[in-house]
Amino acid sequence: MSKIVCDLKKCSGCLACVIACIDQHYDETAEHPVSCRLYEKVTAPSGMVCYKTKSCLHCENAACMAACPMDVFERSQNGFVVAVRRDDCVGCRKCKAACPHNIPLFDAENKIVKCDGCATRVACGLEPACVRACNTGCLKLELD
Amino acid sequence: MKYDELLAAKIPGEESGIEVKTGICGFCGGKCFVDVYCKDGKVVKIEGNKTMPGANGRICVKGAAMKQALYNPKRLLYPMKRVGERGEGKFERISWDEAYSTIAEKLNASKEKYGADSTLFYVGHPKWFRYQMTELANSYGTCNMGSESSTCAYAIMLANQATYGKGIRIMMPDLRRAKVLVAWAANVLHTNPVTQGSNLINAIDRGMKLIVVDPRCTPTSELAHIHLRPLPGTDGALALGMARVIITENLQNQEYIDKYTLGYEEYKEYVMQFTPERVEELTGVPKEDMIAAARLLGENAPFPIMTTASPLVHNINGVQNVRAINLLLALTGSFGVPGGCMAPGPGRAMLKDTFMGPSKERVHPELDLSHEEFPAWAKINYHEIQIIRLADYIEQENGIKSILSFGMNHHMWPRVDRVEKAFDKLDFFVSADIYMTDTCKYADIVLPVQPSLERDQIEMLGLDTLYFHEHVVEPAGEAKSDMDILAGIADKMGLQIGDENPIHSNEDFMNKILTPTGLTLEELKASPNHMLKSKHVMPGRSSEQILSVKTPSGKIEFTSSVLASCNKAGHDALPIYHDFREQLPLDQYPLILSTGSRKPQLFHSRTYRMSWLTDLENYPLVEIHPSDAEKYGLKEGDLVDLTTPVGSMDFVLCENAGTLKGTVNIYHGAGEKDINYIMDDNYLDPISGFPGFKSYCCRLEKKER
Repeated sequence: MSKIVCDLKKCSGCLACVIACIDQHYDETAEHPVSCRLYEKVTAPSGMVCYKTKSCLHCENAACMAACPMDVFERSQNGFVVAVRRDDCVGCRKCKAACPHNIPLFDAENKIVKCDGCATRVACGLEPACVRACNTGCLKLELD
Repeated sequence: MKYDELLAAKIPGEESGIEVKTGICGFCGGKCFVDVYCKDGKVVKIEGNKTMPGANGRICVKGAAMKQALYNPKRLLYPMKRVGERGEGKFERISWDEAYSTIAEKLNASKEKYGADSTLFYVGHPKWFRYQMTELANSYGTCNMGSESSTCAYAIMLANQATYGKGIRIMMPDLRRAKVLVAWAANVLHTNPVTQGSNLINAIDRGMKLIVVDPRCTPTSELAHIHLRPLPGTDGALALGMARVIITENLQNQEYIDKYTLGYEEYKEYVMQFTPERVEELTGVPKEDMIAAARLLGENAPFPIMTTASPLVHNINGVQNVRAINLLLALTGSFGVPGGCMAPGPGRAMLKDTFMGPSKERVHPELDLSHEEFPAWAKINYHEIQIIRLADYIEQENGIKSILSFGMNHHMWPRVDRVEKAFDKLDFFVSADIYMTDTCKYADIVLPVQPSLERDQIEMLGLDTLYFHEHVVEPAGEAKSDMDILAGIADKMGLQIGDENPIHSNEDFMNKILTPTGLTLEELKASPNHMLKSKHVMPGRSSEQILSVKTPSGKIEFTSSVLASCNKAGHDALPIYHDFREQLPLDQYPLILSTGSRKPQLFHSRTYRMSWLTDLENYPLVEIHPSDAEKYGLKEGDLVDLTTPVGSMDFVLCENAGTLKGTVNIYHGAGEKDINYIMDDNYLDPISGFPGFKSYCCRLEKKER
């Protein structure tokens, strides 16, 4: 399965990937868009407080797909789990409960927001937006 | 693939109608190349460029939010005149011609009535036309021409020039050849991840060792082999202590010292006062760590020291602290040599009359308003006024009556409220800017300026390649290039920019700056990719040439001749350490307040108008160490009153274990919650006039919500 992996040791918490994801998926009038890359504050042993990011790993046996009662997800040809029937999402959050990494997010309309691996970009030979932006090389695309 | 799919994923190509254009971001001073995805003339997406010389494909968090900067509702679109009270923000659209005519009439009348020196000419952000602004000021006849650099980079440049002579600005580290680097108050992984951050990571990957000096724990300090955490403002004592270790262990480069420097014996005698025990007491840095760092440097010299524009000089002993730091280069023979700072290198092409070139001199600089108070400034930074006392200069008799400003942000100065009150007393105030800023709200006339992506410009890439950056998108509304506005004002007033070849437009400017390269704008525009090699390149400089320094003595000066000549002002020739705490009422304000460090998503006030960036965290934050929070009965998320000797404001508390114990760290520029409202405007470095932003004092008390 294809996925975007993050080498946390290399991540500097610069947040470029978070905004690159928003830039890819929204236009500027979206005041409070939801980025598919999640970030959380982490304190290093030194005391350094920094953000670390994570996102969907497009698992081989994707629990979210199995859990969704509305059949929102589909595996893209290049191996990403994509919420292709997002309009059908009822916001039940069963996918989130099933996800071992607690990844799925929901927007103001209670519809799922989840990484699609920038599947169309990848199909066209481009990198996912977050990988393209990454400043330390910690984000990598692993293609199926 | 279907059209809708291509469009939704913003895939460039004929099918989607999305075109990728090359542009220069221009958000900060980094000038990173970006790929701008445009559809029907509008930017739909941005990413880092991979194909231009020196570009690595990356983009920072600020650049990635470019759409929100470019299409921001606060953009100024037309010239406007104020119709409400100053500060109220009520304006009415006027034509460019009316704007120019009003400016000409008012500035000429002001000159007639009060003399030309009563008008301040000022450049903030962007900076690239500063040379021509000085020409305009000269043509008008005022010596009072200043810039944001008088709170940013000019103090470190003053310190470096007082030691290493004219022409030295910020010391450039030779990252490619260094065995060990000191990053002194530089968190490049967050401030400039695209270029400086990746260069640093590459150098470490090839085996370079890193010493970071920073009170805070940062991603950059995480990469360090040794991390020293001095109390902000005590950096001078730390450097002098390291010098003592180097000298007592005989690691200094005596041959270099004998040949190239002045005043070593006096310096050595002074340095001996800084025993490891005393330095630990002053700085809080464990002496073992300080000694280990000094040894690592002494044993691996030459080495470079990476500094940035302002953190070290935002202290009331800032200039001397920087002198103490950068004299470690002279002590170890690390200046002007490969692997050190200001290393010899190949020749490069030159542009004429640009911001990065030699500065333009002013008319009668000895009459400027800061001349008497800051004599060392007047000798070294003679091309501009130190404008830190703007509020006083407006309030005083025979002071400033009118201001012509480009990109002025009065939030950068301490006691913002005093500046705002002073603005009320102005006869006339012009503010040209990209956005309707808080400063614009006080102006009589506001003029809309093009940001980088809307502007034609010439850039030098690498050592000898010239590049014509064609505007990527059409200007918003009637926004113009700063240069076209300057020229418009000059022409209307009968003034002149440029010497033998007057500049009447941005095109004239681009043609003029190209002259030393032997290229014309026309051929550059016609060339493939808008890029050509310069026909003329200056010869490279050898170590011997770099070491023929332009100080009064011709030597690198441990004892600065320029500072010694300001003895009436009490400046010391040696890099004497004065502890800022002696001047502060620490019994009532026990926490050291440090402002102005960066988060990746913050750049002064610029990013606060972009919701994508401000949504990333709650603002404004005040950070303290968890143990201090406990000590003062506070916890994460509390609303706290932060009180300094000049005022009080409330902020949300954030516990951060990377903050040095005993200090409070706060980010600046947050509009009404700008910490500068309560920073003392008399708490200044007497040499540079720089405010003590990094080491002031405060107390915190819980506030009921």
